[in-house]
Parts: sequence; C-alpha cells; structure tokens
Amino acid sequence: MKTSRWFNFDGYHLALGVFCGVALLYLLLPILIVIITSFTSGNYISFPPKLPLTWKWYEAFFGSDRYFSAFLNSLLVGGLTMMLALVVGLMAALGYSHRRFRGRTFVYYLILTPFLMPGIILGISLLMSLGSLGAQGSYWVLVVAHCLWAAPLVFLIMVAVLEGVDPALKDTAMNLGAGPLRAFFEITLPLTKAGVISSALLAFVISFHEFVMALFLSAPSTKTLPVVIWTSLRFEVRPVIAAIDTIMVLTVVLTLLIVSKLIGIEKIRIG
Amino acid sequence: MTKSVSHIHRGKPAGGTIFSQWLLRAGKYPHWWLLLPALTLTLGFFLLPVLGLVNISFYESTPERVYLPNWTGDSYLRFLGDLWYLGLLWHTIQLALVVTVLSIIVGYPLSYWIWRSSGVRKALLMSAVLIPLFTNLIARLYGWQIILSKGGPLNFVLVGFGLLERPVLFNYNLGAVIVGLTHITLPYFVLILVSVLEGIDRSLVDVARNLGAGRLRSLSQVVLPLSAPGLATATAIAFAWSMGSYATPQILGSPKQWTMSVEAERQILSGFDWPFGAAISFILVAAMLVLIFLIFKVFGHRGRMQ
Repeated sequence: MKTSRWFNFDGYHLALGVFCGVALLYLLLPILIVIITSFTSGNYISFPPKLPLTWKWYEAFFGSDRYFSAFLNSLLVGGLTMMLALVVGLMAALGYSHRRFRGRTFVYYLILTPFLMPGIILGISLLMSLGSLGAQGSYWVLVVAHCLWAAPLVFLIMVAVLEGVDPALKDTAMNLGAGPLRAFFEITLPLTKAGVISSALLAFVISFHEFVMALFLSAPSTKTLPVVIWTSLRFEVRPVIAAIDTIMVLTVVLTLLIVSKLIGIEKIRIG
Repeated sequence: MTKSVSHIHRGKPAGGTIFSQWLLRAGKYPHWWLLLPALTLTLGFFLLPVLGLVNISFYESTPERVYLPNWTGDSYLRFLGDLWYLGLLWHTIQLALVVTVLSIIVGYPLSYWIWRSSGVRKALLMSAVLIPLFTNLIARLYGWQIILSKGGPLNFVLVGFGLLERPVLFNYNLGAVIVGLTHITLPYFVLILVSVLEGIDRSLVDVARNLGAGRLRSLSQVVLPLSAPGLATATAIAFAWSMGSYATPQILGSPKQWTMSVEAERQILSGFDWPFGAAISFILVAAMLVLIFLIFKVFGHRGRMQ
C-alpha cells in the first residue's frame, strides 16, 4: 500500500476523501456562485453572468444610503454585542469555573438555554414585553437581544477553554500577592487568549448575521443590513444583493485571516 | 483569602459600617457575583419575556386589538382542534428530523476526517467549514436560490451535459428547503463535533487497530462512544436551529413548506392576533424542548454539554 502525505490511496481513504470533497463543495458552492453573479452587467440574476463583468453593483451599494447606513448599523450593533457578550460571558465562565457550588449544573443549563431558542421566539417575546415599555427603536434592544445568543456562546467556549488552565498558576500568583484582578489579567487572560479572541469573533459574527430578532425589534433608523436584504429579497431580486453578500463574505474572510495570524485557524472552536 | 474573610467576619465587625460588613460577606461568594450579569440577562431578557409570552397566549383574541386581557385557553383549543395546524407542527418536526439526520450523515465523516488530518490540510478543511459559518444566512440562501433556479448553474451543467432536455425549476419545493437548511446547520454541527473529537486521544484508535479491530469496529467501539456527548450537543443544536427555521422555507420553499415560525410571525405581524401567535410560539418551544430531551436520552448524555 502506497501512502503519500496528503492521501492514502486505499479504498477506505479514497471513499472518505471523495465524500468529504463533495461535502465541502456543497458547503462552498452557493458562496462562490453569489460572488460570481455579483459582477454581472445585466439587471437580473443569471448564470453564467451577463458579460462584460462590471463593478456597477458595488458602486450601487456604496452609492445607496439605504444599504450603506444599514451596513453601518450592523457594524455598530455587532461591535456593541461583541463587547457586552464578551464581558458577560467571560465573567460567567470565570464564576462557573471558580469552584464547585450548589446549583452549578442548573446555572450552566440556564445560561445556555437562550442559545437553543429560535430567533423568532426571542424576537416575539422581547417585542411583546419591550413594546409596552416603548423601547423599540433603540440600538440597545438589538444588542441585548443578540447577546441572548452571543453571551451563552462565549460562556460555552470559555468554560471549555478555562478547563484547560491549571488553577495552580492563578493560586500561585495570588499567594505571591497579586489581587484577583491582577491574577486574571496577568495569568488567566494571556493563557486563554485564543479562546477569548475566537469567542469575541463568533459573538460579532452572530450579531452581524442575525436578522429574525432584528426584523421584530428594529425601527426604520436602526435596521441592520440582513433585515434590509431580507426585505428587498422578497420584492426584487437584484444583483446588488449579490454584491452586498460578496462584501460581507470578504469582510469575514479578512477577519478570519487576521485571526488565523493571531491564534491559528484550527484553534477556532465552539464548545 | 476566603479563610481570612470569614475570620474577620466572625470576630468584631472589621470596618464598623454595615456596608463594609456586607461587602465582606459578599466577598465570600465571588462566583455568584461573576455569574450575576449572565443570570440577569437570562432571567430579565429571556425567562421573563417568555413568561410574558405564555401569559399572552392565554389571553382572548379580538379583531379590534392585539389581545383582550381575559384568561382563556381558546388559542390552544383552536390549534389542537385544527388539523391544518397539527399538520403544520408535524411538518416542522419532520423537516427538522430529516435535516438533523442529514447533518449527522454528512457531518460525522467530515468531522472525523478533519480530526484525523493535520497541518495545512487541516487548516484548509477548517476554513472551508468556517467560511459558510461566517457568511450571512440570507446570502447563502440567495446562493441556493440562484443555483436551483431555471437559469442557474445546476441547469446549466445538466443541460450542457445533455442529462436534461430543457431547464427544470429545482426551487420552491421540499427538497430545496432541506438542502438549504442542512447547509445552515452543517457548519455548526461539524465545528462542535470537531472540538469534542479533539479531546479524544488519537492513539486510542491506533491501539484498537493494533489489537486487531477493523476500521468500522474501532470507529463504532472507540470513537463513537467517546464522542457521544459531543454528538448529542451537536445534534441538539442542529435540531433546535432547523426546527426554528424561518427564512429558509420562505426563500427556497413554496407556502406548503412554511413552518411554525413563519406562521407565528404571520399571526403576530400581519394578523395582529397576539394570543394565537404566542400559543403557536409556545407550542413550538415545548415540542422542541421535549424532542431535545429525547435526543440527549438517545445518546446517553453524561450530565452536561461539552
């Protein structure tokens, strides 16, 4: 049996490789198609795209107030969600990992439950209870709603990451006179950098893409990009949507590249 | 540290004021203080609103307003007494089950392969899984809409190779919804499963193989049992997210494929019938939680998510 570094050429590995290749094609194909069709010069989506290829739909995006302000809204809500979820989720993970206590398992599940909830449920229930408070139209409603998904995710990742940290290190630091804050910033945080960065990234991405809750909770002035795309997708299918999608894909790929430089891509994980 | 605090506390009041005593007492429970913001978020912005939702689901529907605050079980009776709504629930559950099973069938081998890979290949495989995860859901559905449409690449290839005489519309049916939904759940499924597999000692597989176990046997008796808790978590999340699907059935399906979420939204935002919309939402959540509980039972859950 001949083996190479990349493939073992026996039936088992060939079958597994082909299967996984098809699976990856399945995962990436729609994204590639969107990118390709965004350069069409026709006014409607077609495949193959109408030649010559143009940038006109990108110009349309940056020239459109409606789309561009929604893009900025998305960045703002995503950034605030990332910060809030990181603080809340990280504190909870530290508290959970601190020691064993009564009700620990219950607390674990309680914090994770919102993550399993469909966006529609969270959106509807927040709309019904916050609607009467007149809180609609504020960015904070969206941020808090998105944190219901983002904070449990940060918690889930950081609990797993903190399990890998030797508690003796922190105790030593504290015995040597460091306060709990200093022990956290000088020992725990540097050791869990990869987990903190990847959970912050995921928190941002979750908010950046979320649209069902945003659909219920945003006012015209706080509409995020996915909400605007969703509403236009139902009425007009224009290539400008493909251009916007491409920009969003590129934003994320760029972020991924930076993160992989910082911590190594294989370290990004959930749970 | 805890010791000295309790010592001071038991002796004379250290600072004298009630506030400082209270601070010392609070210092004994640092874990609860750290958990406080998360618990506030969960209780205040999830549990309380959901209880409010349940409350509204027992109110009376009226054409003039979103609800009348009189307690009644009418919304639930209306749901349970109507075969169309029961069919809708069954369709939603079925759809989620099919998507979950597909995620396992495609996702497990893929995760296993990623786990067994290393170096450049692993990084490439991981990025291939991460890119869809980090791509907007609507963008991906839009991509599928293009692929499956009459003028789309799938028809382009099939007609080009002479497999089809003329273009066929692959869109707006159950198959398209299943393909689109699996595309959304799969990356999450794989990412969770890979991180659980990473916790398993790879040499265990080699040991099993050296001891004479075949590939299937080492997989079914070593890897599968060890990854069962992670598999349960990944399956539960795939199930929960596909059962709550809202956008996919609307973009890739016909109204026949619309789910409970779509109906709840329609009742609330277009029908202004809050009690009935709330009842549909609550039935959706209740059915989902029961089924997730069953998933954990099936996989022999070991007490907590990984």
